[in-house]
Amino acid sequence: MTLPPGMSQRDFSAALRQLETAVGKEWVFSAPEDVALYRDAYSPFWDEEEERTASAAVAPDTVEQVQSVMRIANEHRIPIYPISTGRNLAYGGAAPVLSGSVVLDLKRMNRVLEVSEENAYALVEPGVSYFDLYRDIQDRGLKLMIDVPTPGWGSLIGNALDHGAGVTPMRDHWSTQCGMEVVLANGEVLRTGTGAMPNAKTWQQYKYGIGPYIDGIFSQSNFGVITKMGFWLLPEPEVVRALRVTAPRHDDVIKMVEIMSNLTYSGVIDSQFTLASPVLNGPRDAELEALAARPGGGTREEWDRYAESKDRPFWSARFTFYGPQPVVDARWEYARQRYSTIPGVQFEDGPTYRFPMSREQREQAPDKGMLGIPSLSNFTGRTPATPEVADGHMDFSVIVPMTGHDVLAALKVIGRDFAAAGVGARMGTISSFHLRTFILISSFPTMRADREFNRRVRAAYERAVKVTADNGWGQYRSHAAFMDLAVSKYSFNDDALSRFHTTLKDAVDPNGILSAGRYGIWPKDMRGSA
Amino acid sequence: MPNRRQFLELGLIASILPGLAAATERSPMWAPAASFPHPPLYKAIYDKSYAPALAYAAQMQRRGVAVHPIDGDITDVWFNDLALRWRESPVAIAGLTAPEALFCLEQLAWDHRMRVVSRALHAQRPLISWVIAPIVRT
Repeated sequence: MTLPPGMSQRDFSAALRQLETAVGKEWVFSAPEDVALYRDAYSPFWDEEEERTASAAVAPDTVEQVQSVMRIANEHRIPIYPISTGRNLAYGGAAPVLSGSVVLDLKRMNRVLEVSEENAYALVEPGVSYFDLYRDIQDRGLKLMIDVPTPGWGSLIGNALDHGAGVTPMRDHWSTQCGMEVVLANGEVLRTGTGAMPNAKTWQQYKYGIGPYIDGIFSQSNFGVITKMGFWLLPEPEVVRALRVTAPRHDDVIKMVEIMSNLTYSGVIDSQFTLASPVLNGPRDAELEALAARPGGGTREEWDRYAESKDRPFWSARFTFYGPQPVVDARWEYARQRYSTIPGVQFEDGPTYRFPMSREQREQAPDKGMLGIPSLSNFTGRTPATPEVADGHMDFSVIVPMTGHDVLAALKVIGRDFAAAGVGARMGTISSFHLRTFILISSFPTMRADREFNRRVRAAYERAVKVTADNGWGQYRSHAAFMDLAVSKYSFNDDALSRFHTTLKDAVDPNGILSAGRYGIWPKDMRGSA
Repeated sequence: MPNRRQFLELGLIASILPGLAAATERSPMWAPAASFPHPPLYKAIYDKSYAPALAYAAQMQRRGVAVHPIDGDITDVWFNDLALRWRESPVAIAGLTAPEALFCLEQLAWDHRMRVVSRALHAQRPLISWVIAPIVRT
């Protein structure tokens, strides 16, 4: 059994008994078969000594119980690792950054506390999943659309805290959160924004309140346990309509992205759009590898000949428009006009969905994410035709400037690096997850039964972090096993930002009980030794 | 270690699962509920993409167990059925599916204090036969 660092079995057992008194015996898990469910299912260290594992888990049901857990943890100096639902699988799942931590599993706090149709917001607890809120809205027949990531079984709060994103105009989940309740490490409860006013009337409508705006310090951090959060929702649109644009040549990306960014900054496009290269993202054959390996990555003429020989457009982009029909049609047509200036460009009218949709229409719609319908359909890797696939994957997500030159550079640099690593890392599309940048999400496979393969994957992942940082592209979130490395690249002025984070940590959590090591923020007695 | 009563309860489940009783690699971590629900299985989930799973479903139906097909994706059976049923009380399910479907159900079942109590690889890869049941403290 894993124990909290420096703690005896006897002392830990005594602490667990106190936790049982606080939350109920049946909601403290210390049996190995229960604790095993908090392992990182996709761990790149599976069954190795370095695998991060919990010592126990505790699942409170109320804010008061969370407060009790904080007080007990302080008394015994037990490291606590809060999770909302723990389904952030590609970034480390429910497993703590520090082995031996007690997972604070907030799944029982799964109440949808309020949904306002008139002002399009919801107030939820951390255990509320996208499925839960979707069901609540559908059951009540509210004319609201939620924004969902893929897959949709995660927590709204957990996803927002890690800066996750979806597809619709409300896709940047952190930017659409409004007002939170936090249990601090000392057990005190605070509310942010106007929620700090007793009987506040605008907690979920006005973010800033008065004085310093502190919500951001609770994201990707370990300064408190979020027990409530508000989210802005989208009024159900009349229409959702997609547009696909392809362009034939290598250098067309410069103009394509220039138009994209201008349409975004002008408000014509307000939802996620994706950009992919059917050539660079496509199958890598010997000819492509040879081109990519040349100094400078091949000339544009060589790439154009290659794309033509494969009968593939070099670039493909997809946009989605939400709103009243006349407005959607006008924006769709305007975007099409702007792209018509690129020679050889082609258009494909994407699917159009009209609301309200019946339950059957929703269940049969292929573009569920686009419509705010949660799904688990991406967990279908194995089929009769492909019975053997990787056991899991780690995502690697890089922030790239919204210019064609940067897109080209990122795809070539990362593609070349992945090919050299030889571990089957897959480059994904480039998406406007957040408002004014691209995110390039790539995937590194993991295998439970192959430690040598996992060792090579870890080396490739670490190298990818270095290569991208050398080019000025940081990560927007990090896998829990590599958080120190990711944060180390944000090192301006002798790590001034990290030093500020630790100053805050020491102030709000002097015993260092909360999420030790999350996003590189360690308690003072563990700094430098982790 | 499971006690005799728990062995008997698992045997009760296994006895109605085609091909499972002999093939099961019992997890050392299982512990079905002391007051096991009757009938013991609420539903059997099968992946209709695989011929052995179709045969499994037919056998389960003959034994009086309700079945639900999936096509790799558990979203429908979970959202429209299991999530609602498990909200009332945890009840056991079984299945013959690809590992991804079991993985999702295992995660979701844990929210309702249920665990995988038995899993066995099927001769046709990647199929896996499994049982998820409520747990009690031992």
